[in-house]
Amino acid sequence: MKNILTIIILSFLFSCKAQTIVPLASDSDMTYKSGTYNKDVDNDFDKYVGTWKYQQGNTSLKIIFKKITFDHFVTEYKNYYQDILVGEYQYIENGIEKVNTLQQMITQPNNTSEYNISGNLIWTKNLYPKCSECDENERRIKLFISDPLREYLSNAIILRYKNENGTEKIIAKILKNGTSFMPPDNAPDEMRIPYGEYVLIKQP
Amino acid sequence: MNQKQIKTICYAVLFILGGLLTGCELEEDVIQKNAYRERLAIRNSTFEALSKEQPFVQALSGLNKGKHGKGSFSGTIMEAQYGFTILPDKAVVIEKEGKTSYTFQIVRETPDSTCFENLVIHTDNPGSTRAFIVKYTPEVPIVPSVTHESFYFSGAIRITPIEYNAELAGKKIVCVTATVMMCDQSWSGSGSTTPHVATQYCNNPNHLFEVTTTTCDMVAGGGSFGAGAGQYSGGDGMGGTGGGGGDGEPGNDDGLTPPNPCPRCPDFTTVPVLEPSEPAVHCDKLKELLKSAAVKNAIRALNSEQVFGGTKEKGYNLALNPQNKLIATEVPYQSTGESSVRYSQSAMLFGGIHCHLFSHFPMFSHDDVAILSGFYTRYNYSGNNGVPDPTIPVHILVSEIGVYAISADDVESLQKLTSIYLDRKNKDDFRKELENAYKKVEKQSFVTAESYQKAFLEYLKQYNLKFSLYKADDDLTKWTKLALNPDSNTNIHNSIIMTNCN
Repeated sequence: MKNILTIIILSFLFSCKAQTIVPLASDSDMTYKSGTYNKDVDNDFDKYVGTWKYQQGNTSLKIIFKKITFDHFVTEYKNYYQDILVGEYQYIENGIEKVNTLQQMITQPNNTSEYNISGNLIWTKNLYPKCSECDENERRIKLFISDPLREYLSNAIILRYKNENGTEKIIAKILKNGTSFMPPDNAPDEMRIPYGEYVLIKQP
Repeated sequence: MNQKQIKTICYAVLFILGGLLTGCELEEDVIQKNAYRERLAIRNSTFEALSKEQPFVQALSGLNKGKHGKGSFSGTIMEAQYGFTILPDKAVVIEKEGKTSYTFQIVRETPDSTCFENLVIHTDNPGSTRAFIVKYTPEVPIVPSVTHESFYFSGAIRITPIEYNAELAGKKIVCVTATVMMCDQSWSGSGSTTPHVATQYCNNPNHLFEVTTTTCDMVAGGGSFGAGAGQYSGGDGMGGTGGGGGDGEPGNDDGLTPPNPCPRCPDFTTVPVLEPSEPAVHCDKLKELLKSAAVKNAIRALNSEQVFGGTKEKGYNLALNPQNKLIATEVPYQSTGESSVRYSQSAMLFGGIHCHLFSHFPMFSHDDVAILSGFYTRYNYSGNNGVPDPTIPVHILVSEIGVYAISADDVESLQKLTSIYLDRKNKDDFRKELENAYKKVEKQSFVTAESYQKAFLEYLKQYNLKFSLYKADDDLTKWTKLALNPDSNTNIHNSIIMTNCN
């Protein structure tokens, strides 16, 4: 019994690998390096969690965000942990649904990169696209957004949180994140959601 | 005279004395420096420039006496007999105590990548001239610096006196003393005082020092010295290493042992001359691009404040037309965006040129790198008999920090890039790694082009992608390869190694 206990304790000790915690908002050289835990220490992602909607006439954009903590990112190049904001979306244009990936929020992909919106870059005021209205130290979030039928495109969505008289809003800018590209022959060179700025209101 | 007046006079006297003393000191310093400069002067030149200087012409004709054209370097006896060619673009002339040495880099038909060689032509005051081949074998990689036109060197030296008399060559023991000038003056702006090869820019005589080596051999000498990252066996730099006979067997009949120091040995002063050259696969291609008026005009059209401050990026497709003529066609306005340029899908396209606006990071983006695999797979290689060559595709970026080009060194790197982009997990990490790196650069208090270059090169290194980065000069006449400085002793101040394309 004593031997079994010793083996269990030793196994536990050897299985414990120290993770260096790197705040995502920091300028550390260790960010996204193997052996780190890239943590949202200031809880910048929390306020984006939930369902958000942009509506203008018959055109709407609905996005659901979820925060995943201690996600294990492992590839042939890297092995680290991270807190990450993921999401899915539905875009309806003039009453016609153009794209809807919301189902993935229910099925839950095996890894966070399979979400159509994912990422954890903390973006500041002067980084592209510059935010003249932002406060000097205001933080935005930069995520990658994919169109499942146009995976060859590199797109990003920059989120800025705003609380106006109790109404929670996200000012989201969707843009090409190239800057150069060469899509397959005759393939469209834009996402099905038009690039541009959207003001989304938090849904109850 | 009251006390106040006495005090004033005392202060005045003290002031004058102080001034005189300082003046004397300064004068003495100037005298010392002048004296040193009288004894030693280092300057750069070229063969063409030297051929207009009488002392050099005389020295050369002394060596070529009765054999070849006077003052001509084309096909000298030395070159024919010892099987080398002189590189005429850079010569270092050292004048010391009435003696002059001219040092050139030489190359051989079958180059040896482990070493480099110099030809030193040495003239004494009375006018006698001798020539030596000095072979430098680095023990650590050479780390050049374009800014100081110098480099760190640590390794072995081997001296071969040029001997015209074939009967004597190999039969007579020859001892030679070489004095190599080194410098520990701070590198431009870096503050580093690590000893390096002296150049004309080491303008503080207090920082110049000598490393001497006297060696004897039947046909050659050998010894070692070094500077920079490695140790050098010259003590404090003023002493010399004893010879060692190198690989040669002294084995002399008369039992001559090389004295150390060797007062009767021929001696000369030199510095290692190594023209920074980049025989890299991409240089010829890049030079060809800059020879094309179409490409130059395209780069110039993008390289303006007006374009960088615009609302849309601009770009040019680089292609070879059916007649194999290089063409650069502008990417249509509707195929460009605030942060995008869509290149043509033509099979004749082997590359592209585009700009980044002021609002963007002024260095290649992740997709700018990834597109090289697109160029590689689509191009028909018409100019290469249809044979795919991973080194042909090229992507040029024009931004506020310069004109840059990237190209793959091997097909494996392009394949790796393709596989990264096929896997969304890898692709996401690949993208955010570079964006995060540039974000960090932007947040620095003093952002330089070098900061971006370093961030980009470290990024490529992290994914083990063998892509080469080049920067064009302002006149669009030459390219310089940029690489990370691997020397941990110097890379804090000098993170990028710049190597010119010849």
